[in-house]
Amino acid sequence: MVELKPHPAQARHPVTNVPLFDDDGNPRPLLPETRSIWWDGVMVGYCSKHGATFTLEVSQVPDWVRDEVEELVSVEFGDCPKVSMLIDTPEVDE
Amino acid sequence: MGINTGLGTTAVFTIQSLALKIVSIDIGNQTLPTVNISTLATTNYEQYIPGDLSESGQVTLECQFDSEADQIALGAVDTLTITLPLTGTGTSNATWVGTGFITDYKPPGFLKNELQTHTVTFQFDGGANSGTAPTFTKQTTV
Repeated sequence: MVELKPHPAQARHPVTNVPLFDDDGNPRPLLPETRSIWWDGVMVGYCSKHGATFTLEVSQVPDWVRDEVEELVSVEFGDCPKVSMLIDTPEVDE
Repeated sequence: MGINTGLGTTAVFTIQSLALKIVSIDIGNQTLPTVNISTLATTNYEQYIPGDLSESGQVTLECQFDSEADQIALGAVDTLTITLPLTGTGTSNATWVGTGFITDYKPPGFLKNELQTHTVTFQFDGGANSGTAPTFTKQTTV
């Protein structure tokens, strides 16, 4: 399953630098306009209105995952102008 | 306990939607200046108090070079997220996050028997222009 969650970085008080929580005890996101991308319980990248960025190599991301992320980002931010991934590890020429 | 090696650490620029194939990351030093308060009446040692504002540091990223990628942009403000690998029963990764801009770019050298790597230097802006001061968020566990 592919899903978007809040960015894991937690906001801090600008004066005291103490970590901030909402009324339910959840961390307040440091980057509210950015989401993290999760694939079957593993974080595999980040996204925002600027697009989606995988922290996986191109060959590790199946087309259906890429398509689902593109769709989720489009729903969340209205558009997904760019999808980027890590370059593949060099292969030995045969 | 969250002890680990650096393997699995990632770096992402949000606005450029750029993920780099990292070889090494140096987050740099956060340094606080010192103020010398010694007088002619001071004895034995120089005396200091902490300064007011810390330097937020420069991040150096050594990466494999992708000859099909766009040229790295100097000066453009961006948000850098460095994500640490999960340890133990962790559920959400620790991160270093901050806004800043790329101040130095060293294109790859071209040598036989060596991979092409390039080096990017990113200056945290300390939260200038409504940005985000460099912030470490610890890993959360079950």
